[in-house]
Amino acid sequence: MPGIRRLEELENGERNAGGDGSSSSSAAVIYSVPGGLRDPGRLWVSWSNGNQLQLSYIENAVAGGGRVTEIHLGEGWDAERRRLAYDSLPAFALLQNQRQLGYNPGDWWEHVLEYSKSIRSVLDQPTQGKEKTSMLKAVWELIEVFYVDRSATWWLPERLVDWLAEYDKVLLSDEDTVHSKVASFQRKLSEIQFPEDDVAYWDAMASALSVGWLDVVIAFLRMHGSYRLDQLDDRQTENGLVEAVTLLIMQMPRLRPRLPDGSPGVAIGFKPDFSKAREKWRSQVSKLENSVFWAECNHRGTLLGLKKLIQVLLGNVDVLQLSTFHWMELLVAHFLHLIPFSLVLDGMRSIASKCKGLKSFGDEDLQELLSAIISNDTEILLAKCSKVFNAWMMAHVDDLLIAKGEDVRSLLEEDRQTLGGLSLKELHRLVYSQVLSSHSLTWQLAPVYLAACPNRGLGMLEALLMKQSCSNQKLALKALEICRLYELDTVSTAIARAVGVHSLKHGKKGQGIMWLQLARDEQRLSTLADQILNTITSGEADSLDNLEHFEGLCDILGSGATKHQGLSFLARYKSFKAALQNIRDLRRREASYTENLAALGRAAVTSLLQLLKSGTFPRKFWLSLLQESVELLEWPEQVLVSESETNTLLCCLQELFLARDRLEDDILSTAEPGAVDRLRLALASNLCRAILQS
Amino acid sequence: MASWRLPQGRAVGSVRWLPSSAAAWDRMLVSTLFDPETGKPSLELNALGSKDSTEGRPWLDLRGEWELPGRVSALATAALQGENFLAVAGSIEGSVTVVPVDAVQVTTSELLDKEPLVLSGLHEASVCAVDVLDDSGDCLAVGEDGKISVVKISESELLPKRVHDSHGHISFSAAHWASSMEFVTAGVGAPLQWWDLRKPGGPVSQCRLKWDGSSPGFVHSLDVHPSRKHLCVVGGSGGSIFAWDLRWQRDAVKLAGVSASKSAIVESEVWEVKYDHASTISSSSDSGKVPPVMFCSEDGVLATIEGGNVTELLAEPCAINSFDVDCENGKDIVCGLEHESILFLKRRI
Repeated sequence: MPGIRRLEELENGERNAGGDGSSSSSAAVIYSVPGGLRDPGRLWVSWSNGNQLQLSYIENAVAGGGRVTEIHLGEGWDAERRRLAYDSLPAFALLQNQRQLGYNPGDWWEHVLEYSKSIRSVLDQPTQGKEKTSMLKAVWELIEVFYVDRSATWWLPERLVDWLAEYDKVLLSDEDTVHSKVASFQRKLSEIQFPEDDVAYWDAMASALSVGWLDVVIAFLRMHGSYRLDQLDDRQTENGLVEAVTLLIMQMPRLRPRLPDGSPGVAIGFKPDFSKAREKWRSQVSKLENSVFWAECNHRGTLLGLKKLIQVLLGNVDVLQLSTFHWMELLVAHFLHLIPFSLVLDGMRSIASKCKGLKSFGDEDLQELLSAIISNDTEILLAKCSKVFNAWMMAHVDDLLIAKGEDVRSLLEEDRQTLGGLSLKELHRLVYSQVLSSHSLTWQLAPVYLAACPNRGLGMLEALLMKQSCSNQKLALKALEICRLYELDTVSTAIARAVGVHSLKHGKKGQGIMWLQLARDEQRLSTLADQILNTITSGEADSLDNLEHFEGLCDILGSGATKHQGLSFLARYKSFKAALQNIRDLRRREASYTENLAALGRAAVTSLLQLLKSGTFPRKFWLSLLQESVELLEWPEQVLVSESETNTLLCCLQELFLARDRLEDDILSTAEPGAVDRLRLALASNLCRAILQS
Repeated sequence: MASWRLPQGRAVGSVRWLPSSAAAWDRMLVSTLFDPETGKPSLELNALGSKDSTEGRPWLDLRGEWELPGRVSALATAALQGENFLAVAGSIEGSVTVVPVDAVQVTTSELLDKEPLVLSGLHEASVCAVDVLDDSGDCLAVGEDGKISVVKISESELLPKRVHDSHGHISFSAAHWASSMEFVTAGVGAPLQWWDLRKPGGPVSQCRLKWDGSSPGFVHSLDVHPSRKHLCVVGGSGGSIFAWDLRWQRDAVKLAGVSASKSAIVESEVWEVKYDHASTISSSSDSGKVPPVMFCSEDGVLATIEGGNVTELLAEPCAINSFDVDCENGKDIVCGLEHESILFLKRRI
């Protein structure tokens, strides 16, 4: 079929246009739509929920058939990414709230640190696409260290050591790292008896020592062959040297408030103390280097290996370079063993670039990003970050950066002409909101981010809410709840109206009225009331059963009686109608309840007059109302309608004639021929009877 | 009190415990899910495992999975005679699906695979509420189209019977059995109505709900007290919860809501409301008082209300769309969260 082929071509075209959408379009759902059009075939292209494009092909009505194809455009939202979106929302919302409540710039960073920690705990949860998330976490934590946590400024190098210890394994996936070297030898270590014969043993230790993984080095050294009891050779001196190095490593002073329990090294939190301790410790290391015992060490491997470790401890640049594999490791090694007092950030930047020049690694963007973080180069950081990570990262990382200070704040919060008057921060949030809005399960998160956008947020929120489907009541109520939270009264009215009209169109009258009442749509409600009246007065709803249903409708319509002035008559009309119905029922059965009958008749007359006197009952229904009253006027047992009451009815009829003469509206012509005459006659004769009786 | 979130990676609709009396197996949980990628709605039966009673993260062990014909809008479970169970789901397209669960088979390691019974087109619009009677398995379904049906289950057949049809003038939104012949309904444009199958033609009793101010309210959920069948409670818009005692046919009492009291902790939709099983078991029936009620809301609150005092059990960052309390001791509560997860709450009483 040519039409179908056309559709498929289009589908393919969209697939290509959607870039990586090919994966999701393979799972495109195909629906069949019944054809309902005379034309030979039509193709519609329209946006469906979120980022789904709907292609509907309809063949002609005779042959029937046709179909709708939904194509997911853009990047897919897998369950893991949605989980991240859900779980990071509370922390973000809390931070924005705190910001709105007013904050003290002095300790704002503490709030941001709390925020950063909660986001990290979200990233910590077990994930399927592990690598990407841990990379995300690595970068996130590095930004936290360098931009947020002011309590860590004085021991920044040691923070970097900790950071590398945790994330070295995720930085590079297919190149050598200290982590990969250590891990691979660790596996081997359990299998061999005398590891000191293997150069890799010493290399792995030198690498681990360079980046400060003292516990690993100690554990490795304890595996040294000289510790074995079943020795034949005399290895006492050798063992003593190993032990001496171990001891020195255990005593290595570290400039940090504390070390994790059981880890080697001595934490010193006061800088002058640290300098003193370090000088002392270094002199001990040099003393060992020049010790006479080396000459007595028979094992050449041990001799060279231990010396290498000592060179690392003494900060020999060449050894450090050889022992590390990429510049982050080299940088950490520099801080640990070469220049541990470097706290000036400028110094940090130049060392970082020097290290980068010496040992760069594959992923250019990631490398640039890391060095930008370390050297506080926010603009490059933003540029690279948006390249490496997705919209989630950009929307959430801004608050971290801003905690750094005024410069970053103005960079991110300044409105820019080039961005159409938006700030970078707002742009990031808007983009993320759009991503959220594109999925049927996450759109409810978008308002939180849009609310944090001062310029365009509200407008986009309104647009988002207006686009939600009105066919599902529960969803509509959820949208209304969002409207209530953000005080979007006009939007909630519009949604309620849309749902109301939708319900009415699908035959759910009660529900429709309810929603229209929520929307305060007087016009539609009056039209509806008219329709209901029309149905009742035209006699279509004569059976009591139907009346009961209408009763329900009248009840809802009338429940807002004070608001909907025009509709209050419905309740009265209902009681009038019910009384008439009762009378008929009674008459049909037996006339033995004459008294009851009369009472019902009086009730009907009272409602009738209330209706006509109230001034709210639409005039176009007067005639049918009067016609129905004929039954009461011609009451066989007694005179039911009094003289004055009959006069009122006559006046009403007269008014209809006057209206016709004034050419306002000619209701009388709608009556059956003779009906008006009969009504007049009934009125006149009743008047007669009433006068006579009185 | 301890709670655990169990992410599902799919939209979670309703959650219900299987009303088990047999302690031999773990708690069984029925949940309805909707996968946005495939667009497929499903019903899952999971055993909730946990290492010991108070500590240790619980996990869900899948015991059966059924694909449903339409996205689920209502779910109910019941115990039949002979240790068998039923899960009944109503869809937004108007169909009703009955999934029989064999208690013996559920303990074996194989997944349940018994074909569900589907009754499509029972209603012309969304089935807003279903309820199943224990023992007989009679299923009550009400819809937005204003119809009330009772479906009887025989062997391998579903026998539907239309009880009432309002031709769309009323949209029913909640229903609950009160006895094997009586049930209560609520809806848009309808008062709370008490029906008796022995007296056809209309409700035997009804009561209007007084919503706050001029704006009308929607009822989302209804529960009848398990032992005092003349009591029922409904929850709906504006954080409103009403209690109705059939013996006094005056207006229902408003227990919570925007204007009812100062302690209106919930202002949004109350999605589900239930009598608190724990206290129905522990407290002696004091007929004068309104028994405690548990509810969940759009703004993420799960709380109990007793004598005007509200006790918050959970405050989640997203809507709690559905919850269920186990009928055995009322300690285990399960919630369906908007953020694609099931939350398991274990409380101390």
